[in-house]
Amino acid sequence: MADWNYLKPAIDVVGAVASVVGLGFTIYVLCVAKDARDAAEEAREAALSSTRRRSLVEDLEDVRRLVQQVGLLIQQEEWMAVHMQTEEIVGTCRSAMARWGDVLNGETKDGVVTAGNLLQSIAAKSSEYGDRELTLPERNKLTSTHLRASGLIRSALGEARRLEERNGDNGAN
Amino acid sequence: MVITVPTEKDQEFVRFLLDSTRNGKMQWEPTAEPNQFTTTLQAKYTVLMARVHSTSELILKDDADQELVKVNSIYVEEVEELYEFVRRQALNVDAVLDNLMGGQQK
Repeated sequence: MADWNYLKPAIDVVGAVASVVGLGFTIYVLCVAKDARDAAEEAREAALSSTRRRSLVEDLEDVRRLVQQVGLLIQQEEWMAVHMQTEEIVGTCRSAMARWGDVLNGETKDGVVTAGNLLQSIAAKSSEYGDRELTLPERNKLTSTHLRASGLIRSALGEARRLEERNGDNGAN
Repeated sequence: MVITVPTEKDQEFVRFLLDSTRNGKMQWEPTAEPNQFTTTLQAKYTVLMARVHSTSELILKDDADQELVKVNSIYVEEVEELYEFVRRQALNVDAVLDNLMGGQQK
């Protein structure tokens, strides 16, 4: 019968080498899996971030459109409609700032809230007019207040768009 | 809300607004109401400055439109000074004067 004892050390060596290779392979697989998970996480973050900013732009675009309509309603002296539109604008501004406000800088966020307050002051003032015709200074005051509110919303929209474009550029690079 | 004697903290807040407005850190806007100006703090608090019957008045409101602080120039003299700074800043008075004087020199 052949003596296989001389093979034992060789088998031990092969076993040890196989263990080391196995360990190395396991570490490699773990690293690859971690990289894949990080990449997937990054892609998900980028997609979410893009959605967030696009939605902020959309919200502010809605507000800008509503503010523009308030301008027309002031010209037509449709005070009840000014009231209703203002309520909608203030509500949209509040929800937009609550949802996406952390994206904008502090001054811009303050500007959005101030715009809502200016429009509310127009609505409050308009309730004093009733059916009478406005004097020129009264009309000018309402128009200039509306323009200031509109300017603040446009600034916020500009900043949101800039952030969206920057985010798009980063995604492309 | 009844105006009560302002606390030390209220007076400190008025001084804070005065300093911030002087340093241009606060942007005030005229509202549709004559002699009334507004600004927003931390996207949550609204400050209104108004001139009512030769008295200046400051109101701080939260985002639920509740009055937190109301002080006037009878109790805190600095409110008068603040109103004047706010008015000049919101209406760009200095720029208008520069423009007028520049136009006059031509």
